[in-house]
Amino acid sequence: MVLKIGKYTLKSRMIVGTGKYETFDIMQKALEASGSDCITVAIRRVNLSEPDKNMLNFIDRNMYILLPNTAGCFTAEEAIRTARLAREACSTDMIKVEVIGDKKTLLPDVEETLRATKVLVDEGFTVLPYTNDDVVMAAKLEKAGAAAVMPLGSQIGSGQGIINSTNISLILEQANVPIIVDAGVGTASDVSVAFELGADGVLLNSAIALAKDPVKMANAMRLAAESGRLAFEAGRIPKKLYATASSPTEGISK
Amino acid sequence: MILKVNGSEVNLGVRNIPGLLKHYGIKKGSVVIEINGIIIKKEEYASFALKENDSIEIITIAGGG
Repeated sequence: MVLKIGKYTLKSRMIVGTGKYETFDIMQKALEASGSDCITVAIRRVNLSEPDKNMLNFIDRNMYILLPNTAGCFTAEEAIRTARLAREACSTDMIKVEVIGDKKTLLPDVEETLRATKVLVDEGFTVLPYTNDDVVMAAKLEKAGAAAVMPLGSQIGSGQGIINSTNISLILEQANVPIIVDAGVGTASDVSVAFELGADGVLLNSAIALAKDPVKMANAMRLAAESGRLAFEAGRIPKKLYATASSPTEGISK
Repeated sequence: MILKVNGSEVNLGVRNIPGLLKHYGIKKGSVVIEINGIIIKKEEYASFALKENDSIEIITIAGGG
C-alpha cells in the first residue's frame, strides 16, 4: 500500500485530517485506527490565553508525516505566505495548496492555485494542490511541478462522495504523478470507489471526525481503502448490458 | 512598548523574542514567529530586538483537513 509523493514515502494510501474532532484523545485514537501515517494540519495563530492547548503536544512526530495545508487562503499570495510559515512550523517542505474561490461552496480558485503552485515549486516545496475535478487543470498543475494532484470528489465536508467519477478516471488516465482524491468522502464506500477507479490516494477528514463513532469509522475507512485498492489491482470485470451465465450452459438435465 | 501580537495591540515590558514567549508561557519549539511579515529563524530569537509598533504573529499548527 506504499504511496510515493516526491521524496516522501507513505505507508498508507489514505491521508487523514486532524480537524473537527471533539477531543484530542478521540483524534489520537481515530488517527491510529485509520492506519494512516500522513496527517494534514492547518496553520493558525497560537491561542495566547491557552498556549499549552497546542495540537503538537498530541501528535507523535515519529508516527506521522505532517502535511500542512493553506486552508483559509483566498489568494496565491496568502497561500505562499502560509506555506512558508508551515515549513517552519512543521519542519517539512510538503504543502497542501488550498486556495478557495468561493466561501459558500469552498470550491478552489484554480487560477490562484496554479500560480501558488508555480512559486512554491520554485522555492523547493513538495506541492500537493487541491483542485477541481478538472482534467485540463490537473495536467497544468502537473506541468507546473506538483508532486501530486488532488482533485475533489465533491465539496469539502459535503459527504457527497465522488460525483464525477468520469472526470476522476480521465485525470488518472493522463497523470504521471500521484492523484489523490481530496474532499467529499462521506462514508467507507466512497473511499473504495476512489481506489477502485485507480486513485493513488484518498484524503479525508470530516467523514471520520464527525461520524457518531470516529474511531470505528476510521477503522471502516482503513478497510475500505485496502479493499478498494485490492479490487483495482485485481482488475474488475467490464460492465455489460446483458447477463452472462455463471453456470455451464451445457449438460443441463431435462 | 506597544506591540501588535496576533492582531491585538498590547503594551509589554519585553525587548526580545525569548522575553515575549516567556510572557505568554509559550515553548520556543512549538511556534513560528513572524515580525512585520518576515519569519524569524529560531537561532535569531535572542539577538532580534523588538521595536515599538512591531506587528508580531505567533503561529502554530491546528487541526485541519
